[in-house]
Amino acid sequence: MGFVNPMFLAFLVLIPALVALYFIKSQPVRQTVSSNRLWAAVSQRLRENSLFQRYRNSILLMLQILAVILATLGMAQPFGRVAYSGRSVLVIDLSASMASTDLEPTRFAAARAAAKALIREHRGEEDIALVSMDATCRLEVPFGSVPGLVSSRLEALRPTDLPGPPVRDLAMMLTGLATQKVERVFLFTDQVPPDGLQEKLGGGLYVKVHYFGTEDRNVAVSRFAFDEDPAGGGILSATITSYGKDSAPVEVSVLHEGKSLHRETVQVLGKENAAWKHALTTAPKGLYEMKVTSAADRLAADSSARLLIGATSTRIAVISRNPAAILRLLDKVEGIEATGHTPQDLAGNEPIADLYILDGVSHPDLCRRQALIFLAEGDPHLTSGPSRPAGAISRALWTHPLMKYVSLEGLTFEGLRPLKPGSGDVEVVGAAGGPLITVRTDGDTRQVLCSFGLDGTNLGARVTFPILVLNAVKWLGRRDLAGGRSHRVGHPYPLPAHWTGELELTAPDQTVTKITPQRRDLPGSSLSAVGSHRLRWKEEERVIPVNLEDFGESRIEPASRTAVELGKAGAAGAPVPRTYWKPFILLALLLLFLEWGLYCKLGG
Amino acid sequence: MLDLTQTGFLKSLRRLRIMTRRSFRGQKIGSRKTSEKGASVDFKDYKEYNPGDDPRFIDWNVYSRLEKILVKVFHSEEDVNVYVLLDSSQSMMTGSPSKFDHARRIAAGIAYLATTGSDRCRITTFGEGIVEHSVHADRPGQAMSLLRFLEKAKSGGGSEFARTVDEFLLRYKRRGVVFVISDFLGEEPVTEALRKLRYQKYDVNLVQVLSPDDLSPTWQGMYELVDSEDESVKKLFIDQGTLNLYQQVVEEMTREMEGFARQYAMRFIQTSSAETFENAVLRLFGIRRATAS
Repeated sequence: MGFVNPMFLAFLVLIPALVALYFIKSQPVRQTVSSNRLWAAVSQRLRENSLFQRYRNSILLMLQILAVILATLGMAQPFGRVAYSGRSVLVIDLSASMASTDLEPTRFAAARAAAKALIREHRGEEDIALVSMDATCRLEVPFGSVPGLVSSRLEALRPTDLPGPPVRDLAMMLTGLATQKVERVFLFTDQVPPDGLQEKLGGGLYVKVHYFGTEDRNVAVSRFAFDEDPAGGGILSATITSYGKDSAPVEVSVLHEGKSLHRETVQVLGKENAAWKHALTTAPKGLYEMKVTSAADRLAADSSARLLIGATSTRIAVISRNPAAILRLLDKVEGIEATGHTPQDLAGNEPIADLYILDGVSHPDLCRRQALIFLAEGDPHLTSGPSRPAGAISRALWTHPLMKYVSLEGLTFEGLRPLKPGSGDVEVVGAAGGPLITVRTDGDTRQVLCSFGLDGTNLGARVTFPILVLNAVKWLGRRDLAGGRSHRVGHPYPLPAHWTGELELTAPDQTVTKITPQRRDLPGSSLSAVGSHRLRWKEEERVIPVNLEDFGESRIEPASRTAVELGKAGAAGAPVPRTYWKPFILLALLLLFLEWGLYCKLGG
Repeated sequence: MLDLTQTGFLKSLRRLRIMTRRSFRGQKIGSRKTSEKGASVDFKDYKEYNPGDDPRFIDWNVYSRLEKILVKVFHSEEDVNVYVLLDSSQSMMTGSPSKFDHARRIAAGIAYLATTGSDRCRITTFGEGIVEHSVHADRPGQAMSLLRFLEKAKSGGGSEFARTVDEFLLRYKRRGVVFVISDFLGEEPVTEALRKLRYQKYDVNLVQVLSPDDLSPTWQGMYELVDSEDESVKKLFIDQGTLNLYQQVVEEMTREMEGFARQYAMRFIQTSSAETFENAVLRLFGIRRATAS
């Protein structure tokens, strides 16, 4: 507690003056009277009266002194804690890097403590809204909530293993909040770039960003994969990355179904990626888990990776007027579950698969998925215009995995459909008339686009066709067909078509959740933690190995500043000291009134 | 110094005489007014003239008006012993104007009325017993000596009324009318001594002389009250409440005195030294001053 105007405390010198005056006035005046007989009777009656009568003079002095003290304190304007008025939004980062342990116990714990301290500096929690952010921004508690709800919700939050939201999405959310008469936003994060946010906000809102984190050291494992050897066994591979300038030995351990399979120590220099491989003479099916531990490790989420070998098959949906032809090619391939569908089957009932083969079928949704597409008229990948002669095959990217063991000899193509170019396009096979086979990568989605229909070529009749299809399936699936499956954290997980109704999901921390998916996939928010999730539907169970694959979250380099202010200069609604002068002044006036009343009643 | 023989004061006395025409009972034929017809200067009534009546007492003014011959009837007169006991203790010196001066004026008034009414009057000052006494004046011409006695009277010392009465009763055997002029604020109660006077067949009249400060003090604050006689000190914080309480005490004292006086057929008046002595004397004799209409 302090005083806004401490100089008024000088008025306290009035107190000794009052006391001195009291004693001066209290000096008796000598008065000769005829006789003290009557005054003795008066004195006797006074003694018989109340205590107040005896001490009334002292009581008046006390009231005066108290009034002076209170009035002085009131004028000095004591203030307690500073308090914010108006609406504030607290945005707390729940992304994976907030679980870094460079701040004990974690950056998130430090951020939450700072947020709680800020809550205490507000007059009431009803003026605070709580927003959490990881891959998306969510309103946890709106304005006008009951007291204590913000604090309790804040206490219940935990960091996820998801990456942070794009700055654009965060800026949009904050800009939207400005319409709710928000005075200020407090952002608790470790890595949101202030410049990017400033640019997006345009100065329309006051935002104070509190940064957390002290180190950039971290060891991560990524790209945990299994390369199957057709002769048996295969090679486990991964990338071990050491972030930060310090390096330390990294202990690597591999487990199969929870049992130790391999251990070693690798040295990874700071800021470098080390490629790691381990050969397996046999690769039994099941869950493989790789863990890296190091003194330089600051984030647990990226220190392990898991993949499933052979436990499940790749589901392929073949949509064609005659799916049987392609189904026969895939029938004997291990690790594939292929289903065939005609265009009529699609009406409102798209099959759920890991990837699709569209043969001469145009579907607005399926065309955008992981697919091998023999483009048909009307496909959105095509530009308007008629087909044109392909001409002879003139170029091929033989190094592409798609071309492994593929032979182009003797292939003819009648017509070449005009492909709409894309930014991630790589021409694998081209002819004089244009690209014949193009691979397209759009974010996580891969597509193999064939600018022809199978009915306009002799490819389907050649030996190389199934090789091409299998290569495409492998490339599309980014894993060997025998398994080696992992799932990216926060991404929706496609469910088998026959799994309807309630599912039971067991998270890596063994918490069990019952989910009834509204769509044909498990929402990404259900898989926001790395580790092995178990999904059960009736008697069937699947293991979903979830990994943190966003390298950005593995790089936990903190911001260079602990706090940044963006937006309006001068910070609208800065905390103001909560002064308490009114009760002091009112009480002083009340005491003076009481003293005056007593004084008048007692004859002044 | 109090001047009771100055012209102005004497005029007041004469005016008082006219207004009161008071009579006292006494041993010698003097100015006593009785209902008995006799050679007296005090008119009582008219009667029809009968042969043998003194023709000197025919009221010719009445005859001229009514054409009736009426003879004046006069009160017969007897001597009265008038004693004035004047408190001259130190407490009578307090007040402004001084209670002692006021008491002396009242005593002068009583003495003048007594002597000019052919009564015998003696003034005695008392404190801790009888201090001094005047001559026993029984002629109008001796009134001045009484006034001079009063002028020279001094006050001081304590007050012992009981001892004063005892000495008075021993000294003066002839009964009469006693006027006790005092503030009656002494420590000892006066009632026993006054009862003694009544038992001795004295006609007792009490004049309590108080100052305005005795009756209604107005000072407020912290005071050391010093008794004028024994110099005892009482510290008291005086505020309006205290003053109100004091008023109650004074009223109670007055009621007690009045009640006592009634009980023993004494006349009692309380007078402030701020009041004129004429008013006090008139009230003492139960006469209301006529107000101009």
